[in-house]
Amino acid sequence: MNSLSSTLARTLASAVVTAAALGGCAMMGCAGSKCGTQASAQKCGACKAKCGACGAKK
Amino acid sequence: MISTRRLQRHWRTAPDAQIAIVLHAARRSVSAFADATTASGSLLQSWIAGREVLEFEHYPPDDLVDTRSGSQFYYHSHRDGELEHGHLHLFWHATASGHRRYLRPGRRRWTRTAPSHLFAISLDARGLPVALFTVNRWVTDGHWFDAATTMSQVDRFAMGDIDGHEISCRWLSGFVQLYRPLIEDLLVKRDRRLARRANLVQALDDRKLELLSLIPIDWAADLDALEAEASRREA
Repeated sequence: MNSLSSTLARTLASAVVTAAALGGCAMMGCAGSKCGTQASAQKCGACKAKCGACGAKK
Repeated sequence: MISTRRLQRHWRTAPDAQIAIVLHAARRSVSAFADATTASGSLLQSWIAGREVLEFEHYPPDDLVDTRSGSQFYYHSHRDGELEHGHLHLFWHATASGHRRYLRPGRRRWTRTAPSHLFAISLDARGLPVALFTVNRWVTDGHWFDAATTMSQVDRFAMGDIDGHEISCRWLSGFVQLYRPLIEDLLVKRDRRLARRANLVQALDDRKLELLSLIPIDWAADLDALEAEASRREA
C-alpha cells in the first residue's frame, strides 16, 4: 500500500526547486488590497506607477 | 502531526461512499501533481512559467478564473520564514448575502462582485503543499462570511479545465476535496479568534491582525492515512 505517498516522493525527487522571491512591490499606500485578486489590484494601479519596479523588470 | 490525526479521526467514522470519493480525489490530485512536475518542472512552475519570481506579483499574471463556478485562485510569494516559498489564495465570487453571483452573458469578468477569500495553501519551493491558513478581511477585501457559509462556498469551489492550466486545476480540485475536514477546522479557528474581539467590524480591519489561523500539513502522511483507512475497510 502507501502507493500515493510513494508516487509523491518520486515526484518531489525530480521537482525543480524555485528560487525565493525577489523584492517586489509591497503596494504600500496602495488602494488595492494586499492579497486581493488581480482585478482588485488593477483598480488603482498606483503601485505600478509609483515605484517603477514593475516597469524596470521588463 | 495533529492534522493527520484529525483526518484519521474523521475518516474512521466516515461512510464508505465518502471514503471512496475522497480516495478518488486524492488519486486525481497526486496524479495531477506528478503530471505538473513532469510537464513544467513543478506545480509552482506551472504558474510561474520560468519567470523571475517577484514578491506580491500574481502567477499566472491574470489569476485563474472559472467563470462558470465562480472560483478563482492565484499564486504569490511574500511571507517571511522557511515554511513556504509562497501560497495560493482561493476565492469564490458571491453576493454580500453569500449567494453565487452569475456572470452576465458576454462579460469576461464580474464588474460589481467582490471575490471572497476562502483560505490559502502554503507551498514549498518544490510545489509541495505544507500548510493551510486564513487571513483577515483587510488582506484580501471581499465580503466576509462565517465558517459555515464559507464552507458551503468551499464545497462549490471547482476549477474546470482552464486553457493551459488544466493540470493544476485538476490538482487543486482534488486537493480541496481531500482536505475538506481540515479546511472546516481552519475556518472555525478563524472565527473563534475573531470572536474574542469585542467589535468584529473593527477586528476585520485591524492591520495588526493578519493571519487568523494556520494548520501545518503533511500531505504524504495524510495520503498514507487515507489509504490505510480504505484498506482497513476492504479487509
